[in-house]
Amino acid sequence: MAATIPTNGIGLDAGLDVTGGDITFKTADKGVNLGVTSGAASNLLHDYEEGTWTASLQGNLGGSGTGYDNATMQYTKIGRTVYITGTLDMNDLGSLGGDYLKVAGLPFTPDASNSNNYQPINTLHFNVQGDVTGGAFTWAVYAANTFAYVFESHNTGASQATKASDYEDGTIVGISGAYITAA
Amino acid sequence: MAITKETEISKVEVVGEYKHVQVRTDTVIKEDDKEISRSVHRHVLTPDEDISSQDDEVKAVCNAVWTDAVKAKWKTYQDNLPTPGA
Repeated sequence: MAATIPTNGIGLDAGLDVTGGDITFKTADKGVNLGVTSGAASNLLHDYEEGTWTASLQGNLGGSGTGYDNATMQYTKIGRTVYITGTLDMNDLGSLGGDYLKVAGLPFTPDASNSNNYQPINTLHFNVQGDVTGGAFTWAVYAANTFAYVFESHNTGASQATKASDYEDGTIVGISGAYITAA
Repeated sequence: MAITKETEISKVEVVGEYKHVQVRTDTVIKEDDKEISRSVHRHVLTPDEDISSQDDEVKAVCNAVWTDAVKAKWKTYQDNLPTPGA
């Protein structure tokens, strides 16, 4: 039977070594204060999670019939930051409606503050059409939405939104990046 | 020795002023009822989404927090969403 800790907690003067089992907080949002000698919200590491999410390419006015060889992506959440990685491998663009593309399915809601309106995600796009400028593609996670816009950086100017005609059935997108969440 | 695979909704969280509903689904592999593996999948629902295919527990949360006022607020936000890069 586990030892019962006094309700006023326990002080450790000689550190804590755990040789078996894990440390588990039985109450939500509890964690470890790092870098401070008394508790502070900005120093509290209270969330960590690893998992998967399912990405889908959409037009801003919707879409249908898009098929994938792989759409399962990975994430690791540490505190309020979500790191996402993966490969979105399309075999059929289907029908994508609208003037610009977005990738939906993010695992956590992005922060809604203006300072985080466009959070960039590094990408590498293969098999794209109309790429005559040699510009690179990137994604931008948009505040409070659960998708990322897809941009193309042009040598002659600023980044601009991509359209369905920029992609083809065999487009493959590798991604890696992080964004700040709402909680 | 029996190997079983189960999925369970392990977390339903309501986040932010637009009441996004974040859903964590765990896939649990058990051997003779003892858990030997657990993996996690996440998705997020926004107030304008079709939730007919969601788990009943998730539907209940969505229906509770997505009031007409929340839906209207979200629609206004979406209607005023700037074109990418604008």
